[in-house]
Amino acid sequence: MKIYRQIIRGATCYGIGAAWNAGPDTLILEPGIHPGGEFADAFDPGSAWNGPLRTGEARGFRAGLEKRNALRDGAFHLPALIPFLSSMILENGIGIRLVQTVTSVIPENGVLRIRCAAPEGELEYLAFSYLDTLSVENTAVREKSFHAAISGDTDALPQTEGFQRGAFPGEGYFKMPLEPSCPYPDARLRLETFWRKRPEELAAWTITGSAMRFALKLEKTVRKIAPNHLCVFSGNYENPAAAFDAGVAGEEAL
Amino acid sequence: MIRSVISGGKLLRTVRDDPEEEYDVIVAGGGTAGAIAALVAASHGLRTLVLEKSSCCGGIGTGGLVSNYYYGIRHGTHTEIDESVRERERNSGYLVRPNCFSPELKKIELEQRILQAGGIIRFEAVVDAVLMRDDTTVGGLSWHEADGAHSARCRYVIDATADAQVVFLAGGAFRFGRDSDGLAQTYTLNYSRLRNGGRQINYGDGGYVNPSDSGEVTDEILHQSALLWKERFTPEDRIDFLSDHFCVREGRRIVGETNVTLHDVIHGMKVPETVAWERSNCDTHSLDLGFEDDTMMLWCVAAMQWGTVLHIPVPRGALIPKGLRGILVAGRMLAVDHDLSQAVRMKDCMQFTGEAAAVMASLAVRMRRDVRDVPYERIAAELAWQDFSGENGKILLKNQCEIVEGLRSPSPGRAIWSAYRRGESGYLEALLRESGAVRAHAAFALALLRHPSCLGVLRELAERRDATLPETPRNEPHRQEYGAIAVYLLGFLHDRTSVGILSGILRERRSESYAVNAWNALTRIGEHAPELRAGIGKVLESSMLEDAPPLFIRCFGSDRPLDILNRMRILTAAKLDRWGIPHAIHAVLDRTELTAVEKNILRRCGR
Repeated sequence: MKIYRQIIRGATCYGIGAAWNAGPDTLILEPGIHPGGEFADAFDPGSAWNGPLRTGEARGFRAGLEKRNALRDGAFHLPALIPFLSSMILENGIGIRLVQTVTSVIPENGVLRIRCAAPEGELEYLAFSYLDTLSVENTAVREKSFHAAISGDTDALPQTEGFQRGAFPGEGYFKMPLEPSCPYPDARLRLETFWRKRPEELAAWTITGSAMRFALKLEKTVRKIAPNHLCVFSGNYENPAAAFDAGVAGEEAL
Repeated sequence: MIRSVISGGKLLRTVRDDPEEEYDVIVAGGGTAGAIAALVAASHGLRTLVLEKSSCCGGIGTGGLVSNYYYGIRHGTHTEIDESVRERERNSGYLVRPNCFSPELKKIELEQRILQAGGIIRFEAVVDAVLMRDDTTVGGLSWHEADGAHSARCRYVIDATADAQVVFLAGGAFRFGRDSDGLAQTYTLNYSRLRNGGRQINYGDGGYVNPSDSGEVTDEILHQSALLWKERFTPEDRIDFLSDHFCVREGRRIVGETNVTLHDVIHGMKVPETVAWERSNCDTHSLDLGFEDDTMMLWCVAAMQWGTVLHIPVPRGALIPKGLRGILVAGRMLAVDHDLSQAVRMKDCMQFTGEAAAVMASLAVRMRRDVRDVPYERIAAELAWQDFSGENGKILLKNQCEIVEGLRSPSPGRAIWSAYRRGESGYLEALLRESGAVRAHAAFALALLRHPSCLGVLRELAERRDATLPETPRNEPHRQEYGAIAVYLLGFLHDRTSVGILSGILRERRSESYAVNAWNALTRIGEHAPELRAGIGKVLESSMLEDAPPLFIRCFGSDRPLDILNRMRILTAAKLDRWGIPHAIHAVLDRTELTAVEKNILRRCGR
């Protein structure tokens, strides 16, 4: 059985950056079907897009979005992220396998045996190191929110707390803060209740969809579980480019 | 308990402790069928747990954004839910598309009802193993959540995973795809978009994929998603968001205690112990129909019945995996054949199968019996539906006069099928002597009856590439030109005289339907006439070598043309290998970069 140099859990922006940096013999195992899901599926367009980036790759990442009009004046057209990252993965031959839920990571004779629940049953991979970019274990949740994609037939930008603009007129997101223990049904019900009585300046805005996962910020971004097992939570970065930058730079890596 | 899993392609069973957590019913998958199953089970007072891998209930109808209905019969619990969603939509500030329900508000309605009925929902929970009481009895599930591993016992599992994942992990038998190349129907990656000032859901087909092969899924989804990476994003034509539900029309289908086929339905065969009804046309999204089986080709192409709406009974036994106890299925993995699965997958019926499974499980739990031993009358009494068993008979024209009149019309499909079912040929042969389209229509009907008198007309139609398109009630893209229909039927009848005509058609690549039908016809004739194989083999090989032009099919609603040449190369190579004819196609394939789907076809062909 092939032994990967590194297996990365999560096709997150950090994970893709780390895979880019690690080169061949690296495999990303993504539980869902969307690269960049920590932002795209959470309907979190990120913030501080004009902040400094350490790597040329990340500056290229941001420039690529700007060139195609997906990033305009620091506002992001979030739906472009999944197509963008998919193209990047394909064009650069980054190793990835979707719909893989890691169920265990077991040290064994100097390598890690990583088990997944997959559509074809239980799959196993071997790796010398493991980087988990999705794990929320061994730290507290600092901030949890539930977002909605909203659409307005107005050019006016509401000042209501929680409103985040997208790249285009009428494109926006609404962020509803939650306590860490709030489950999905409560979050959706709360959003619905709020939206029925939303402030007047949001009256011209409609919810087109609610997020497919929570937006989370953890107390600790980096956690070392074992010498060859590291957790770096990609959702903690301010925006996809910043997460990708950190992944490429690898400053938190082994 | 025994932990059952498929590991490395093999059934692996190990002894483990009984879990403490216990339910009457665990519903694996809270999607289209599973959410209704959970609600009905909990409403019947059963201790019910739902394990849903995504973050919402409702599946394709909510997270998958398919928020309208396609035919169906409006009955059952889900219609009450839809009515409540309509109420919920008022002044909600949520987007509601015309003729659709709000998927967001349906998520809420479903989960709130399940919770209020006492059900427990675990989101982002992925089933990783089945717990068995013995070799054949399912007794619980093991699953994985963000906080780690969990397991629970139960009296019944309802497998509503859409891909028979629980049946699969328990070692149950299943079927997948069509016979010719093993492919299932096309999938879709849905997304909400703003276009022409209005919001639409893009349902464009993405191509073929086996949803139970993560390599294929990865390859397809990344390529399909990358197509949305535009040269320049504009405010007028933009995406709102992409669904995280991979919208699959067909996955694993169980081998059930009762198995229903399209052939059964269109030939009026009685199905015992109906527990649900589907009302739909045979809505295949395959545009390379020539790879479908004869039932599908005769029904959809030769008899032009793609758009005809059928009433399809789902029997109790189609929800019960053969050889397993303690488990039922609900949703599209019912025990139907590939052909019928293209009709029995619509949301209305899928939701009702959830209700049926829950009622069956509830009775089995309360009566402490296997679901097979619950009296059917008790099940039927709790499921309120009408008997539609006579509806399909109305498709048939009543007598010869009506058939002849139909055959003289530009929309002859119903008459062709009625003539075939009637079974007489004399009056049809007489029509062959007339001029105009009626000759072709009579020839098609005679071909269905396997009557050789039609061959001359079929050869004429094929030779002149007759471009007539039949009129059908929906004038759907599945219609094929008369010339292409004739090509298919010449193969169906193993007409060795037409090898020359068919060879020319295969070489000229006039269109996908002509080329695939000609390939199909030539291989069938070769199967039937071994002495012709050498000549046919040469034609097949020469049309598949490196200089062969691509052969594109266009998927519904998609900008992505799909080149099927490599797939045809693989099938041709396998056929020629079997015939013992040396060829150079494997060498071409060795030099070609194949997709994950193509590699798997190659593997299934023994390479």
